[in-house]
Amino acid sequence: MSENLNQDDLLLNCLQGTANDQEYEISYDWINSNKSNFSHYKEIRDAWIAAGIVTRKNENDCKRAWGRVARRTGIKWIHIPDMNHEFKHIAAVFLIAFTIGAFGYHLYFSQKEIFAEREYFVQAPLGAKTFLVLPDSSKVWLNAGSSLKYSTHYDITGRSVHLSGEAYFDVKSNNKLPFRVHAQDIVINALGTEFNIKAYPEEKHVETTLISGMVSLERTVPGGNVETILLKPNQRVFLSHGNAVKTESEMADALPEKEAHDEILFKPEIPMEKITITSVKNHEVYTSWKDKRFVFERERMADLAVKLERIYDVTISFQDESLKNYHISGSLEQETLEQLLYAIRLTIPLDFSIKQNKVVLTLNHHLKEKYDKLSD
Amino acid sequence: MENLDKQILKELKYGSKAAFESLFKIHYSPLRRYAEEILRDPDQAEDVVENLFVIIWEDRKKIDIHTSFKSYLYRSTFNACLNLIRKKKSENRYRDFFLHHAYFSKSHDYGSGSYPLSGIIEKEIDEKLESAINNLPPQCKNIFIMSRVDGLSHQEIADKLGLSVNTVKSQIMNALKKINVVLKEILTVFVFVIL
Repeated sequence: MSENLNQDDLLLNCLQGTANDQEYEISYDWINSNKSNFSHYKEIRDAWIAAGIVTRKNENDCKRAWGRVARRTGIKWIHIPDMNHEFKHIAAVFLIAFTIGAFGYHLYFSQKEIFAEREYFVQAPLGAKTFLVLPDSSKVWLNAGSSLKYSTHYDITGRSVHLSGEAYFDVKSNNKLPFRVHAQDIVINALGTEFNIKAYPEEKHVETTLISGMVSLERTVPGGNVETILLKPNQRVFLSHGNAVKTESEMADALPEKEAHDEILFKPEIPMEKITITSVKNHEVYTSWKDKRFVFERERMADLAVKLERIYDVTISFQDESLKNYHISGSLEQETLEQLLYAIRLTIPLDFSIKQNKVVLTLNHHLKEKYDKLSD
Repeated sequence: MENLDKQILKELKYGSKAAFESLFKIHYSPLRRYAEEILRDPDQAEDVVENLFVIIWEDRKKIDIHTSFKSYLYRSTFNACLNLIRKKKSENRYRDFFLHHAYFSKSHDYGSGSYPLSGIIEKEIDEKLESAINNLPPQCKNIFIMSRVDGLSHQEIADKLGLSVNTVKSQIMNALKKINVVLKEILTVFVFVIL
């Protein structure tokens, strides 16, 4: 044990750079004498480096470095070195005249093509997510089974997109052209912000979670008036409409318990319409799908199954209704569906069978007895 | 390979500047800090990472990635650092081993194929590690920061705080052990249930 301590001291000195030549040599031999010594050293070294990486942050450097790299790769602009001023001016006059001429010529002969508005359509198939960068370099992560439409005039006459399904937006700020998302019958206006929208047609409700910045949500209420709701960071708005299916208690179930219902802004004029604004403590629950990670908190098995159907492009059916009412929390990274179901099986008494794209969940009575005993 | 990476790679091959810019902005800072850890020289670290991105842009059509962009970038950074170190004449090869984190290794079994942090680079480490460091007991954290960030020697820290050198060393080891526990946690996934 005491030998170990001394060895650790030496390793520390070596990492710090304060050891003497002899100590370096002793440590080197110790590390390379066997595999367990090496992995002991590796653990200390990795912790040492990782700590250095997180504690020495200087994000300002990134901008300047990007400037240099952009110049070197010719992405931004090419610096013309050492040209005398007079020549530059003459060159500029010719260049401008030529550009105007060429543009006019092009405009004249291809007017139709330039102004013809066309549409881009991007779709993330079931079982896969898609990332895209819009012309103004706003970033969009599309969740499985979602689609986004925008016009070729995007970033020229406005910044409008139409969303069906779920997307996470990281919007480039531009005060002159506000960013507008049309989802079902609402419009979300944003300046430079990050937010998540969920509007799957089959779910009959729209959810928006704001991560940073500010967004306003517009919708036409019956009677033709436009109603506007402002959303602050870490707030989530839940709007159910039409033949709303979610009841109050189901809503409460779907939300992690910690989150207090702040206020209910809008009491339904038509009985079925409902807007709820809640503040969100852990916005990862709503946005984690865009990263590799997927987080769920106190999720009903029935709701989780719907999400899994999208993620893995399968259909899940329950043979026993009672399974739907179990709640489960956790996070998964890149597990296969099988691995995940095995993990769930450790806490929920189920059996499963996967045949091609069909998953059937059945209740395992033997496990149920065992687990029920544990929870008593 | 992950979808986002595939998408970026695909767009990069088409020559999308926006894809290149987002790749740069996501990875530059951590890569630079990583290179700084290996080279122990901020200016050289800056050069290495900038060169790496310039090469990626120039060779974008030829890039072939099987794992992920992240591990590709870290591995390339590590290799570029090693090439730079090899060019310099070393005064003491044993010293170089530690200063540059396994610049050469006697036994290829444990040395090659593993570059520092290779096991966890796929994961998002920053946030969890930062909170692990912030949650260290105040004395321990203080000592660790003095050693790790301010680069003070154990003796200097001991003098400043009126402690013995041995206490300083064991506090630093404690901090490293706790950080290592977090590194290992990052590798595991948990699923639990609330009924």
